[in-house]
Amino acid sequence: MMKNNTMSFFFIFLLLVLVSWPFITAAETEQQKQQFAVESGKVLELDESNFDAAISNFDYILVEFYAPWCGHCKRLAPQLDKAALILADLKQPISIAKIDADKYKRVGSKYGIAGYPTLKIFMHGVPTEYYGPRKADLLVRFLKKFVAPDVAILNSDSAISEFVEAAGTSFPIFIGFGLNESAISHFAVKYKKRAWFSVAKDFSDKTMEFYDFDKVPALVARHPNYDEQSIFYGPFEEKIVEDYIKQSLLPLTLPITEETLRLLKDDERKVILTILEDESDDRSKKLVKLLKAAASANRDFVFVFVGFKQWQGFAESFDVSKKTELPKMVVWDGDEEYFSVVGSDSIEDEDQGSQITHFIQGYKDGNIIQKRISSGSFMGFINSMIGMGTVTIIVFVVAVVMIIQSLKEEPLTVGTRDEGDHPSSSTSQAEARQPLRTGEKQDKED
Amino acid sequence: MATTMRIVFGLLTLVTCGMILGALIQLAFIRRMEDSLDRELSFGGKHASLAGSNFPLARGISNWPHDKEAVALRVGYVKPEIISWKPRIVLFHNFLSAEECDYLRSIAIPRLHVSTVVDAKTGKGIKSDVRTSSGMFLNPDERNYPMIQAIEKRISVYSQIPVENGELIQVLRYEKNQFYRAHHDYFSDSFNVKRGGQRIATMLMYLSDNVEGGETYFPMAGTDECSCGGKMIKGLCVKPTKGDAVLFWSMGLDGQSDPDSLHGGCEVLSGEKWSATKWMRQRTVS
Repeated sequence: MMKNNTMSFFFIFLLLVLVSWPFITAAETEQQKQQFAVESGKVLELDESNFDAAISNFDYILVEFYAPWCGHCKRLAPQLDKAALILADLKQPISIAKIDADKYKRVGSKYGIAGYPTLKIFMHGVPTEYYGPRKADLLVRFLKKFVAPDVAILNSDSAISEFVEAAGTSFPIFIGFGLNESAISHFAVKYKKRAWFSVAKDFSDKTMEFYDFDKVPALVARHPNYDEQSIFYGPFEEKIVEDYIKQSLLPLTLPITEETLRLLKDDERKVILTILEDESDDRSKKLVKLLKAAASANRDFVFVFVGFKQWQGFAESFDVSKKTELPKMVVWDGDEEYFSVVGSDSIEDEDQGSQITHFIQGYKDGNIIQKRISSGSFMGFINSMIGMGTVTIIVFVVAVVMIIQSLKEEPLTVGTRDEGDHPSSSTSQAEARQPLRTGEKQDKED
Repeated sequence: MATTMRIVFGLLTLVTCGMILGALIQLAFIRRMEDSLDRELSFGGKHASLAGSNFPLARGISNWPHDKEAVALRVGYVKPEIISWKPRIVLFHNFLSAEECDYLRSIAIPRLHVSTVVDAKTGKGIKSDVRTSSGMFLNPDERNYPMIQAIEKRISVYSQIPVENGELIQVLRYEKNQFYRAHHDYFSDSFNVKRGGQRIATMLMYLSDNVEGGETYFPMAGTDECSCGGKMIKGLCVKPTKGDAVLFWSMGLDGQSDPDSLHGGCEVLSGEKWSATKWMRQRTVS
């Protein structure tokens, strides 16, 4: 009898809890919503307990995973504050939040945070890594892209110019003139993060003249920051359109920067790399112009160039030293392998156009020598360029300690420091290597 | 024993009946074949009496009523008419049947309709100086539909360009006040020539009736005057008649791009003009 009593009591208790549970949770989320609402326009500080609630509460929320000791994070903070103010007022508001991923390691590891700061945008709870610029105004532009419709539909000349204006210069812009959105919508979703897509239904002859096409349907690709444009008239078959879009995500020729290296990683095409002495001198500009012409005729390659003066470290991985005759062209697979073409070692001043053609033809004919990137893992090199400041710092510290030690012991020996110890990836290391040059002879091998 | 015999006899009867039936069907088939062969053979004889009143082609009746190929090509219905040699323009009367015209439109309507809905959402009206129509492409799956296949085959036979060299058919709708200024179909840049080569010819098919204006005009073809969207201009105008198709060449007989192939779509004054375009290239497209 007694036992029965406790049982029924227990059941009643369970029932009570079950009935009241939704109210408890509802009250919780209501409270959270209010809490979030109050702080709109400000950067929210999240922790483990309210992180999930926050990302489910906001349709679009940018989260900074930071660590208190990280310098980049400290510099980023005021930019985020500024951006948060603007983003809260948008038609489609975007919230900004941050979380100390160093302290709340569980959240950090759940989203695979490898470095600080990492920015991720959660769109309806789905995270996407944010690689774009981190200055407030540019950040706003990039985030607008994330929340924009896949394909904008433009019905007048003014709508077209407004769209192009709003799109800014950070991404390529595709405009399908006289095209139905169904022809590109599939790719607009697929490449949403990398370009703006639109279709123009109605436009005047003036627009046709401005965009320089004479027949419809035409798919125009523009690179505002490179001042470049190409037009595709078809055939509008899925695979062919995708090829065109993929090839047009990058401009005809682009200089090597940290930003473009990242873009190159996403491109499957082989890279024709031209190593110049100095990117900014007139001689190089002339060659780049020729490269552009070559690129438009050979869209199955990406044409990039790099100045030895600007990026010595990068150029050196292709076996180029100060003594190498420049400009020099190689075909690079984007990873650790590259090919030089027999008989096209360097580009001389005379008739560069036909030398470029000769180079490409030589590559296609298979007159090539396969080589590997000389210094360590190339992906490691790229990774170190991307925010892995810690590696640089460690290498620098180690180098300094070693210098101090070697100075203490025997001031003039060179042997104590071995180059193979650490990847020659950082500038600090390159500096450290400089004094060694006098001792050892480092001529180019071929 | 008796039962097994019965089964064997039963089976034998069945097989015999089947064979008889098969033979009859075969006979009927041969009769049909002979029928069409007969007409073919008799063609020569009738040709001799061409001056006579019973020349069968003139009546617009197919000589190959049981030949699927002939039906797909609309032999006996299509009437080619050369309307200009420089540029080369051929007008095919009755190129598409009314059903085919309606079919192409019905495939296109839902996809064009969606865009109109979106337009309504943005609330922007159509300006008077706009010039383009809205268009959509058939997709590669639709290319396998029997009716589309028949049309593609017909285009290929009449233009003498392989089906594989054709781009996908584009269906266009021009509403009131819409037009398409004069242009060439061939490319002047090297990039678009890369895949499939130059465009060499275009088959433009009209899918709707009751259109005022909306002619296709060729300003470089001849010195006569014609009515284009209500205005008199110099050149040659083709009226959009449902089922008709105009084949024009972007390439002259010398194999070079023909600048005279300049053409445009005149303004639609009333009604809706529907057309389907097939561009044909030098090489296979995909």
